[in-house]
Amino acid sequence: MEKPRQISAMEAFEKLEKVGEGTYGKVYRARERATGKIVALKKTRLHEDDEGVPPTTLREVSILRMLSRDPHVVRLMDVKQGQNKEGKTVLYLVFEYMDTDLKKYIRSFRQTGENIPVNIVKSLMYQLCKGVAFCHGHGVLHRDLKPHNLLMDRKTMTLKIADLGLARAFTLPIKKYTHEILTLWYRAPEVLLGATHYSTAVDMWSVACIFAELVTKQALFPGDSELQQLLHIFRLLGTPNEQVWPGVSSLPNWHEYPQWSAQSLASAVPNLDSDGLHLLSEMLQYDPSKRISAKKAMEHPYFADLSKAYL
Amino acid sequence: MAELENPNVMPNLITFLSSLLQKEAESNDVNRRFKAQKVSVFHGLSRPTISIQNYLDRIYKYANCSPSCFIVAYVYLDRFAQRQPSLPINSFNVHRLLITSVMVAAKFMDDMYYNNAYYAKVGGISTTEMNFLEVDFLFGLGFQLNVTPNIFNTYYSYLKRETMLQQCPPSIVESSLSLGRSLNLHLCFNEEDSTHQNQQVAV
Repeated sequence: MEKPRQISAMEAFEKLEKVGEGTYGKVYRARERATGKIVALKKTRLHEDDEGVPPTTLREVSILRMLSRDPHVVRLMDVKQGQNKEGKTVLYLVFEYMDTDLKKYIRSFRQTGENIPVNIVKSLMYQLCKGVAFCHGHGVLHRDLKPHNLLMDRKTMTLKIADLGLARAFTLPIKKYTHEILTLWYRAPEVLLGATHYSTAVDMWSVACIFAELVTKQALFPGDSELQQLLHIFRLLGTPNEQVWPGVSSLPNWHEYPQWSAQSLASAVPNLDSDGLHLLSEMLQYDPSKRISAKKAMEHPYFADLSKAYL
Repeated sequence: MAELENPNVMPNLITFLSSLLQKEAESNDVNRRFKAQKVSVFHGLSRPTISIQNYLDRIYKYANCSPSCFIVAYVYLDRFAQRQPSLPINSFNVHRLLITSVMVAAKFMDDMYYNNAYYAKVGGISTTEMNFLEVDFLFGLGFQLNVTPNIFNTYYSYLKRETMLQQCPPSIVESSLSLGRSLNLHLCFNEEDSTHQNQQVAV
């Protein structure tokens, strides 16, 4: 992480192919010339002169500096400063290379019509909970957990949490959080209802949605607007009220919504055993204070028969 | 930490922080004659005419960031000094280090903040220079921007205590002055030590 004046990023790495494109720049598969090692290079343009270093980069790097030691958080190996052809500063984040992500993995099963094997779902879920527990234990909220942000190695079936650009440390007193975060489908109801002081439970809601999606290969709540998103949730889990969720009617975006009663999770997520359904329901608790934590989830009976030695 | 929102707390704290940085800068100005100090991008060609106090007041007035950002900025300055021993705070670089540290703290901490161009205006420098300072400051810190609650509280209670001592009636100031002498007033908390005390936050 020292300032690399001597050797530029482009001398150190050979770009092999573009593998993705984010908000702030391209991601390449690249080879480190010195070692032959394959890495992912995330290039960050600083082209918006007025903005300087994008805050997502600033947060991602500093948070990964703290969390990268966990086996279930993507490993940031280095940050290099370089210049593009126009002579502008670019930053390269050097990550370990992972060959796929959970979104592509789920899609590959959807295409063949097969189900993801039960033991694989369990292993991936356990690794996800473990990584999330690690982040939360270090005072970091991810805030944008979704299949696309979970990297995988197909050979070892290792899962790693990535894209911490929206993550933040939640432990220091700051002005209210914005609620303009998270992909809609995985967004917790308290965020949709406009709560500005939310916590680790928002990540657990996303974990629940990912869990169901691993089993059914379909998004659990595929809303296309904030209102539709809420109605999707209410239709399955019942419209919340002060009894199940004290304080819900005082949230900023609360209105009189259509009244639905809760449907059975088993019908929405078939092929999940009773332990799995119980865990899922604990993760989908309306009241954030009652929602299960990542750490508690790891101890749930659903994971009892999983061999955790290598996870 | 609701007391940070109290309108009387921050201005006093800002005043104390200014005097602390001024002492630090002046003492390093003297040292420069004896010990080589590197010239960095933060180093102005001349000593800025605006006092540290007025400069920090100006930042406080216009940045409109969470009050915590000033504590965090102070942590960053201290980290920077520890990681870059050849670049101590002096009268030529203290202004640029200040505007950069507050801006980086606000970008890291707050969901809503002003951009580099705005901070450049507040700080009286060009946007291009602001951008250079930002990147150099980040690399100088090794991108270690996270501040654990434990570290935050250590720095905050230090600032709070010293700020209060400065405002005490003369009779108490008398005794606190001797206390002040025994305290090391330099910016030097050992973060390694304090992180050990709070294992659940920072392992």
